[in-house]
Amino acid sequence: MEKSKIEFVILRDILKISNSTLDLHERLNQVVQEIVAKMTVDACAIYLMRKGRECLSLKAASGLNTAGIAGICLDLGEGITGWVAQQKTPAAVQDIFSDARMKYIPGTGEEQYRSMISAPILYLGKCLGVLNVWTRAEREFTEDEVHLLCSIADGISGSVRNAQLYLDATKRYRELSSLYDFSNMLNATFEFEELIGMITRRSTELIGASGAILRLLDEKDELLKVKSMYGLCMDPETISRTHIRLGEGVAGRVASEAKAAMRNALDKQAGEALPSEKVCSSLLCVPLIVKERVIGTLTLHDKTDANGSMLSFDRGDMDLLQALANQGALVVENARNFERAERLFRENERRANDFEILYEISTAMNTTMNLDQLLKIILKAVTFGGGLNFNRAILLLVNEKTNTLQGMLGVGPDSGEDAYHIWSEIGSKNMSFQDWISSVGLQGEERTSRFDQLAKGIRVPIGYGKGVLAHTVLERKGFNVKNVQEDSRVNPEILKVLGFESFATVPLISQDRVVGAIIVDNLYNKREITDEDLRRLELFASQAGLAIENAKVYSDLEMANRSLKELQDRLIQSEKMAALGEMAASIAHEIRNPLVSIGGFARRLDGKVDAANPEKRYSRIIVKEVNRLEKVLQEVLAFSRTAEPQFCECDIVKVVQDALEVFEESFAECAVEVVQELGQGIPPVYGDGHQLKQVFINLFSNALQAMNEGGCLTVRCNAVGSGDAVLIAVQDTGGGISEDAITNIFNPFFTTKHTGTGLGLAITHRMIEMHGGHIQVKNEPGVGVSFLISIPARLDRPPGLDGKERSDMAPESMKSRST
Amino acid sequence: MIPAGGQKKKSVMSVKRRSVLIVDDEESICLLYQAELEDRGYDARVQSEPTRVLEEMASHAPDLVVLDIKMPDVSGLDLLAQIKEHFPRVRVVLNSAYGSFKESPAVQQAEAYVVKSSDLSELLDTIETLLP
Repeated sequence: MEKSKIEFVILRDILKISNSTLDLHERLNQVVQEIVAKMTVDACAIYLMRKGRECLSLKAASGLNTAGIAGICLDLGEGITGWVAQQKTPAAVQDIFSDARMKYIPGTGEEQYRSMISAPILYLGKCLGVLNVWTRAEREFTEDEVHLLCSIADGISGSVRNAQLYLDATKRYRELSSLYDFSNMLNATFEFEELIGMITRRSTELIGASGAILRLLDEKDELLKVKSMYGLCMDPETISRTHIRLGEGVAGRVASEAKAAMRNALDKQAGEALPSEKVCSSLLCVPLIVKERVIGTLTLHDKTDANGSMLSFDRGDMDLLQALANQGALVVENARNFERAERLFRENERRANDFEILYEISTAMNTTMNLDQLLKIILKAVTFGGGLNFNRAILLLVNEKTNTLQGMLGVGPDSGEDAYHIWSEIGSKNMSFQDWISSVGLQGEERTSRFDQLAKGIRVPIGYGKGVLAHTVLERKGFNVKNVQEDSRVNPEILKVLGFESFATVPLISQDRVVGAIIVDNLYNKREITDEDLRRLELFASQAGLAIENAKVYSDLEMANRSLKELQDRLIQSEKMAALGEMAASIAHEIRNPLVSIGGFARRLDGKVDAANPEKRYSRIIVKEVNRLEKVLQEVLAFSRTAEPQFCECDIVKVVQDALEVFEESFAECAVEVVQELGQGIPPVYGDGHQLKQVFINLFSNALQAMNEGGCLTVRCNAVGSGDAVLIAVQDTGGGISEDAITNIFNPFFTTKHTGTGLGLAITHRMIEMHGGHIQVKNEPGVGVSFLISIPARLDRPPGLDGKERSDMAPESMKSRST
Repeated sequence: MIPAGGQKKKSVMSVKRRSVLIVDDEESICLLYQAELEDRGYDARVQSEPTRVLEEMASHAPDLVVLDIKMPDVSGLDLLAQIKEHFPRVRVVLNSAYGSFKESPAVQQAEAYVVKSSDLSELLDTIETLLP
């Protein structure tokens, strides 16, 4: 065959192969086989430029041993092949071993060949690879042969290029579909932990690394913190605990520069990598970026092939990982936002719940203007399970006069057993605050607990350095005392009394004024008081403070109103008395004078009439009736001008005994038994002995009249209210008074008797009131009547309206008027 | 007790008899007091016109005056002051239907104060004490 024809056939066959639909690798193999078979050469090989890296790797060969050389490549300019690729010009070498460029890859058996032609595979001026042929025997290649090889190289360049494009496209497609899968997976969940776990796992798998570490940037301290780790990793404990500063190590640099980094032989760059990064031999790190903001890094380490031998990360890996990271970053950010939103929502929900409870409590607080009831509601709210949920609470109010905090009320169980009992009862009913408040009642029928008694005894001075409670008032803020023993600010008297372990205080503030404070603790369930608890308590306390202030203002108003009303009543009463007195005085002269004459002469006549004379009876009647009229007159006058008491200390027991003595004979006559329980250590009262004696004379006289057919009179005398007052009870067995009469018995001129003025009890009432005391009647129809009289032992305010004590004008000797 | 004898008003009194002047605008009261005092052996005179008391006393100075307070024209308390001015040694027992005058400072010039009552024992006892 003609030589040029042979060349043509070779070229045609090779082009046919190279344009076939076979896989590129297969095609290249066939091409080299074909060349060896058709051309007079002993070996043929095709090197291709490796993607992303300027080196040549052996892709197909005939006559060379290719086993175990995957991944080994020649740099540009390295050996004759490298030179050809670099120069983009063919080379024919007659004696390879004498050529300065000579370099071969050991193990391929290249050294058995003597001569070679090396032609660049060019495509649009760019070197895609190199085509080599060798002969064993040394020979000189002709120019035609070099041309032929160059032609073959040109012929396959298009298909190599196409194949590369195809490979790229396929790879790109694979990457895209991985990314797509990846993003689908990521979008399937908002669960943060799951997400970041998925990112590390999938990126490890997709790129063929041994493991991945995802770090997120903590915005507060600007540290990269490990959030997720996947795969093999040495010493995961240390790694996960090591936070990386921005700019520090590979990951820190990546984060601060927002630029990916790849380190394939870490020991060479030991200076840069951190000890925690150097545990692996290669790493690829990309930033997680959302809206131009770095939120973290994703690091892959130790890429291997299926057999576990180390591979280097390349550009493609970096691009892919960056794409994954971009996806991941977005989703992580979304998840974080979602979590934040969820947290906000939960917080809002809790706030809404708080407000609902506060609303309920404030509604309950609005149901009363009574301070005592209000304080009870407040502390119930503080200790209610659905409310603020503290075990125990004490409410103290500021006493401005004494500048102290004064315990007003304590709410809480006395013992753990008690606590269990109460709470399980409430829990089982699942009540709302309103229901609960109305079920426990506020009218004070509850038994008073020991805790309440202790709480009421608390008195704490307000001043700087006077303990936590004082500072709660002065600094207008709450304290959360976690350890009572170690806290020197705690008032020791409170500790001793209440046995707190830890507690919190809040001030009750109303319109810029601290009106009191609340102490709370969780003695029984030992739940720690959190700052959140304290915040809620403070929120509540501000409302409670306002309510307390309102109630106080209301009660002040009410008190002012009451005392005005009292004053008015007393004015009306004294007006009435003055009118009555005037009338009585004016008729006294007109009646008393004739009575003196009538009675006086009747007595004279009576003395002159013999006892046997029937006229004697008539004169007796006149004397008796005049006596009666004079007595009525005397009472009217006495009532109309009841003098101001002349106050001095007097022995009430003696006064009572003196009054009893007056009736000694009458009691005996009517068979009335007298029981005296006059008690020991009765303090002297401050009052007018004469008037007080008159009071008891009136009461005994009434009792005597009710029991004129026998009975029992009991007189008791006791000190009450730690000696503030003396209580005297006068009880008879005279059958009592009818119910409609009882309301009138202290009114002047009201009487149930056929004789009498009806002024006795009215005078008694008036006198007791002028002593600042009280008189009460207890009636048991069919049994008898008890009068309860309390007289203050010391006088806090002046009795009577004007309060002036008139020093008497008449000498003592003249006070001889009998009553 | 000396039984009630006839009218002894005009007779010359024994020096030893204690004399009492009764001043009251109520004539019946004067009559009653006079009878009771005479029964007890006093020389009892009456004057029911208060304006004439000082004049009466000038002619017959008594040891003691029983003096009403509330009278027409003249107050017993003013009269008391005048009596004490002109006859400082004459004792005065104020005798009123009112207890309230007791509190008046003018009362203090009198030796005693007795509230009127049909039972005369307090008044008579007081006079007895003042004129032993």
